[in-house]
Amino acid sequence: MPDLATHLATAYLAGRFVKLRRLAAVFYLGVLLPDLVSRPIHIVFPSTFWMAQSFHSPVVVFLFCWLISLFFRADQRRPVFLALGAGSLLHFLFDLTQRHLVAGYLWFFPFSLERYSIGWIKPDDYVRWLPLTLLVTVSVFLAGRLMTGKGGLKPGMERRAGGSLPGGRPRSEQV
Amino acid sequence: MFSDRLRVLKMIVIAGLIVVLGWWAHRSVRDPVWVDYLARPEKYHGRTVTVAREARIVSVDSTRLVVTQPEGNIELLVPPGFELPSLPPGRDVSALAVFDRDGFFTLEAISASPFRKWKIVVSLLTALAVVLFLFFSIRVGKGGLALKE
Repeated sequence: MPDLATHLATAYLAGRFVKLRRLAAVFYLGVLLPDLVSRPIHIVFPSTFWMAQSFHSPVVVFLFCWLISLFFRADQRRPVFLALGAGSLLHFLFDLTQRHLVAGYLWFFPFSLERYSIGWIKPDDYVRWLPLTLLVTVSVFLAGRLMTGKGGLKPGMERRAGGSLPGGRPRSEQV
Repeated sequence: MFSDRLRVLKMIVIAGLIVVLGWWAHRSVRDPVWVDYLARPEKYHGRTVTVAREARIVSVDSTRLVVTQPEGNIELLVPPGFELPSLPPGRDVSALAVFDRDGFFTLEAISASPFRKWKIVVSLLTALAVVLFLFFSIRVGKGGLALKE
């Protein structure tokens, strides 16, 4: 698997194309979810490799997304589920690019135990490229802030710096 | 699917289904591991064993490589002419080895994971950051969790 920072960076960049707004946090949770529900089990109990692998499959992660969404208020369950699912799908697509020495992931568990991977990139290479990934992500973040005007001083602050009153009126208007 | 009707029951059934699927995978899907090869040498003669899942190098020289596995340490013979990359003890590797009925394993392919520790640290920090972001984005209200406006 790529590291979670790389997964989160892809989620942030993908999220720039859609207006996530308040769903951003659950979308980011979704992009980490397949690893969050599987890796700790494997790290703590190495002999449970296949259980961990089964949790890192679309069907089981779909169930996790559904379960998590049910903890939310009724009117928010569907959007939360969709955000979690979209994030998880992005995670799986990114994992598909990995090159493993042995096999890949259980894409069709529990219907098939065949493992698939495109095999383009070694998992360690994602960590090697992480500084570049973060640089690109931070650059996109800062560019977005500048373009939307959130990076600079607010108009009111500018006027105040030029000698206005706390209320925003220029000093000349002072009675 | 998302209504309040039988909500708790739905949650219990989904959680149960996840546990059952995980347990089924754990019980029924099992690749033979190297100790199985040693137990039945005739059956597994010439077969390739996977020495993967973050095996850690215990010792290494030009002729042999010893790595940890959940069942114990396994010794892999390095065949003549095999270009073994520079791998210090403690490094995590994945490997493929061919089993011989006389009870030894010959290294066939190896892949190192020099950044594994970094990967774990970076991933933990990222998970922590997302949990904090969630904490500030969600509140507990009537009817369950709610995303803040």
